[in-house]
Amino acid sequence: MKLLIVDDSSVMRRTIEKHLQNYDLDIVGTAKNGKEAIEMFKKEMPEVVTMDITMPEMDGITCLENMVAIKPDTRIMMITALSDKYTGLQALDKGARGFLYKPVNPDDLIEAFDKLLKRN
Amino acid sequence: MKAIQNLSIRNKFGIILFPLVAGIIYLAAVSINRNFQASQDLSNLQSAIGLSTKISAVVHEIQRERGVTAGYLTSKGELFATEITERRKATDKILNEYKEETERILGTDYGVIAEPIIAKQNEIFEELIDVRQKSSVFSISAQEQVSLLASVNDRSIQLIGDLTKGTENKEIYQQVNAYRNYLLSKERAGIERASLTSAFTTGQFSIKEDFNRFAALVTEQNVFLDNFTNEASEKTLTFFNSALEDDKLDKDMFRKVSEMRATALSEETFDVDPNFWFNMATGKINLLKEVEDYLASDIVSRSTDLSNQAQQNFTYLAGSIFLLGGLNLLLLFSVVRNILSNISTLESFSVRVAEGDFSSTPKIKNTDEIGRFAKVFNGMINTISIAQEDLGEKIKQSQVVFDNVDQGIFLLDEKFVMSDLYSSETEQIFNNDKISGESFIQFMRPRLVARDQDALEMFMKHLFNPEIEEEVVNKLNPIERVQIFSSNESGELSSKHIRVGFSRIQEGDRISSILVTVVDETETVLLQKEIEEAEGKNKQEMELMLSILRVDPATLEDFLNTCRQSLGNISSKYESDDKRNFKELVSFTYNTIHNLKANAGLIDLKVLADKFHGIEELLSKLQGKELVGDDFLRVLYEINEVNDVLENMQNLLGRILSVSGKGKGISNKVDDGSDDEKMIDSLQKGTERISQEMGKKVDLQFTNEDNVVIPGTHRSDLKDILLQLVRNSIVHGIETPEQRTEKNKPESGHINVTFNQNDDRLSVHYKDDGRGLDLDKIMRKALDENLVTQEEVASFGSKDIVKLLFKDGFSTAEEVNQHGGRGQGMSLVGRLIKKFGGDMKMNFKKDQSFEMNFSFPLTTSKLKTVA
Repeated sequence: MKLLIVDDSSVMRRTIEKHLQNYDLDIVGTAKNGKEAIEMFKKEMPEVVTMDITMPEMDGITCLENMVAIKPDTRIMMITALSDKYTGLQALDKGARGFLYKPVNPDDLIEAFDKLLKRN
Repeated sequence: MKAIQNLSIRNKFGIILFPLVAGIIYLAAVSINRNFQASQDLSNLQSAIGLSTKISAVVHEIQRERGVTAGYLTSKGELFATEITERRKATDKILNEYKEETERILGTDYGVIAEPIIAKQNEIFEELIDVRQKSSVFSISAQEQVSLLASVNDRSIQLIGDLTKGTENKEIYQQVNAYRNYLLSKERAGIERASLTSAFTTGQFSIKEDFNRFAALVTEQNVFLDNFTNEASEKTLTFFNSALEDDKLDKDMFRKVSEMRATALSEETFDVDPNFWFNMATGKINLLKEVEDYLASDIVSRSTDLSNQAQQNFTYLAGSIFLLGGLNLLLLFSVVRNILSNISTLESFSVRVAEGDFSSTPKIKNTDEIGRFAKVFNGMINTISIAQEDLGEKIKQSQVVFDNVDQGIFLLDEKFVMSDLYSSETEQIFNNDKISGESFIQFMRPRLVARDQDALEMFMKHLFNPEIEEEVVNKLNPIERVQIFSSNESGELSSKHIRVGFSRIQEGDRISSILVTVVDETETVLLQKEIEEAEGKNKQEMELMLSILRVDPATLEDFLNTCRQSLGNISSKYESDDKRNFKELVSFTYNTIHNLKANAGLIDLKVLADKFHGIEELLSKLQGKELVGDDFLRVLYEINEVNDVLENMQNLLGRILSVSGKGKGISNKVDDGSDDEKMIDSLQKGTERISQEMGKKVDLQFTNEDNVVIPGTHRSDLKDILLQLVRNSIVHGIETPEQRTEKNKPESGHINVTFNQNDDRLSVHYKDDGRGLDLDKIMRKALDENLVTQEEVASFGSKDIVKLLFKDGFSTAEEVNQHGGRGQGMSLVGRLIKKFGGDMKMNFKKDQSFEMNFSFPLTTSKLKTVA
C-alpha cells in the first residue's frame, strides 16, 4: 500500500518517515503544503495519507476534502499539534479516519496505523 | 354483519334462539290446533251421526204409522183403528228419544252448528201432528197422507246428509251417504207397501197417476239401493247380502215382494191378498230396518272410534310436544345460561387482571372449552404474578446500585436520547433537571459555550460511525474536560467542572447505544487553580526577592509606587470620564501600561511584565472595536488584580528590608547624582538584556561632561524616553553581527547618549550606528495600519514620512512582543518631550546612523506623573 506524508515541517516529515521505515507501507512521497500534496496525490494515488492541519498555501482540512473527493476510500490520518477539538472534528466530518496529536512517538504511530488499516 | 358480530353473546344467543323457538312454538301450536280441529270435527261427526240415527229411527216409525194410517183411511176407519193408536204411541216414543238427543246436543259445542238443522228437523216433524189430525177426521185421503208423510221422511233423510255435510272425513262421509241412500230406498219401500196395500185392496190402481207414481217409486227405490251398494263399506255390504241370503232361506220375503210388485206393474187388475202383501212388505221393511240399524251402529262405532282416536292423537301430540318442547327449552336455557355465566365470570376476571389485580382466579368447574380456557388463564396469571415479583426485585437491586454510584451514568440511543434509567449522581451533577427522554445535545446546549455546542454535535455524529475507531473519536471529545454553566432560580450563574466519557455499546456489528459517564471534578479543578495561584504567588515573591537582591530597594520602591500611582490614575480617569471618550481612555490606559511594562522589564520583574503584557493584549483588542462601558470593566478588573500583586510586593519588600536593615529612610530621597547613576545603570542593564534577546551586540555609552544632574521630576520620564530610543535602536536600527560584518561595520553596535547643559536647558544627544530609518517601510506600514490614505501619502516628503513614526499605533515590527511591535514607542517619546516643553530634532543616514537631539528647560514645574 502506498503512503503520502504531508506536513509543513521537514523535521516532522523526516520523523514520520523514520518511524515507519520498517512498517509495511510504501512511502511514495512527502509534501510540505496542501497544494503540493494534491499534485502528488493525483500522480501517485496513494491508499494512505498522513496530514498536518496548519500549513501554508492550503490547510489540511481543505486538502483532505479534495483528496476524499478524488478517491473516496483513501484512508487519511490527521497528525497535528492543533489542540482545538472543533477543527479535529471537522476533519472527521470531511472524511479523515484517524487522528493523532503531536508529538508522536513511534509506538503510538504504529498502533494508530494498525487500527486505521485494520491490521491486527 | 359486523353489527351482529359485535353484539354480546347473550344477545347473539337471543337473536338465534328467539326466532327458532318462536318458530317451533308456532309450528307446534299449528299442529296441535289442526289435531284439535280434527278431533273436534270427529267429535261433532259423532254427535251428528248419533242424531242422524235418531232421526232415521223416527222416519222408520213414521213409515209404519203411515202404512197403518193408509189402511185406516182407505177402510174408512173399519180396519186398523186400534193399530193406529198403537202406532202413534210408538212413533211418539221414538220422537221423544229424538227430542232428548237434540236437547243433549244443543247443550254441547256441536249444538251451535247443529242448531239450525235441528230447528228445521223439528219443523218437519211438526207436520206430523197436522197429518194425524186430518187423518183422525178423515179430512185427507190415504194417498194424500202417504204423500205428505213421504215428504216429511224424505226431507228428514236429506237433513241427515246436511248434518254430516261439514265433515272432513271422507270415509265417514261416504258411509253416511250410503246410509242416506239406503234410507231413501227403504222409505220408498215403505211407500210401496202403502201404495200396493191400497191397490191390492181395490184390485187395481184407481187412476193412471197412481200407477205412474208407483212406477217412479219403484225406480227410485232401486236407484237408491244401487247407490247404497256402490257406496257402502265392505262390511256393511256383506251384512246386507248375508241378510238377503238368510231371508232367501227363511221366508223369502224379498222375492215374494218382487213378485207381487211385478204383478202390480204388469197387470191392470190384480188379485193379490193385500194382507199377505202387507205382511211380506212389512217383513221386508223390518229386515231392511235390521240392516239399517247395523249400518247406523257401524257408522256410529266407526265415527266414535275415529273420534276417540283423534282425541288420543291430540292428547299424545300435545302432551309430547309440551313435554319434549319443555324439556328442550329447559335444557337450552340452562346450557345458554351456563355458558353466559362462565363467559361473564371470565370477562370480569380478565378486566381485573388487566388492571393489575392478580389476587383471585376465576373458578369455572366444567371442562368444556371455556372451563379449559379458564384453567389456562389461571396458569397464566400465576406465571405473570411470579414474573412481576421477580422483576420488581431486580429493578430494586439495580436501582440501589444506581443510587449509590458516584458518577453520572446513562445511555444514549442512536437518536441521542437519554435513557430512562440513570444514576442518582446524574441528577446531582446536572441540578435535577429532567433527564429521561431528553435529547443529549439539547440538554447540554444551555450548559456549554457556543463553540463547545457545535463541536459536541459533530462529535456525537462520529460516535455512532463504525468506520472510525472509538479511540480516534474519543481523542476529539470536546467535553472530555469542560466547564458547564447553570443559573438557579434567582438568576445566579454557577459553574462546575466535569469530565465526560463516552463508550460504544455494540450488539454484533452494530453500535446500538453509547454509555456516558460524567464525573464532577469541580473540587479538583478549583484546588488545582488555587495551587497554581499559590505557585504563581510564590514565583512572584521569589522574583521580587531576586530583584531586591539585584536592584536597589529605592528604585524598586520607586517603581512600585509609580506603578500604583499610574494604575490609580487610570481608575480615576475612568470614573471621571463622561463615558463618551472611550477611545481616549483606552489610548491613555494603553500608554500607561506599556510604559510600566517596559520599566518592569528593565528591572527584570518578568511576572509583572507578563501581567502588563496581558492587559496590553486586552486593550489592543478593544482599540479596534465599538466600545461599550462594560468592555472596559474587564480591564479594570485586571488592573485591580495587578494592584493586589503590587501591594503584596510592597509588603514583602517592607518585610525583607526591615529584616535586612537595608533601605532605612527610603522615602527620603536625596537628589544626588547617585540616582542618575542608578538610571544609567538600569539603562545599561536593559540594553544588555534586550540586545541578548534580539541576538545582537550593542554597546551603550553615556557622556556627561557637564555633570548634569537630572531633576528628579524628569528622571523617570527621561529614562522612559531613553529606554524607548534604546529599544528602537536595538530592535529596528542596529543590525545583527553578521549583517554588520557584511557592511564592514564593527560587530557591536554603538549607542551614544550625551547630556549637556546650556543655560537652563538640558539637552540630550542620542546616536546609534545602525541602519537608520527605512522610509519605504514606514510609509507602507502607515498605509497598512490605515494611519494615512494613498492620496495623502502621494504628496509626502521624507519629513512627513518621518513624522508618521510619531503617530499613535505605528510600528514596523512584525511580531508583537515585549520589546517592540506595539507602535507606541516613538509617539510616547514625542509626548514626553512635549510634556517637558522641550523640542526635538531627528536625523538619519541610511545604513549608517540614527540621531535624535532634544532639549528641555530645567524649571521644576509641577508636572503630572506620566499621562
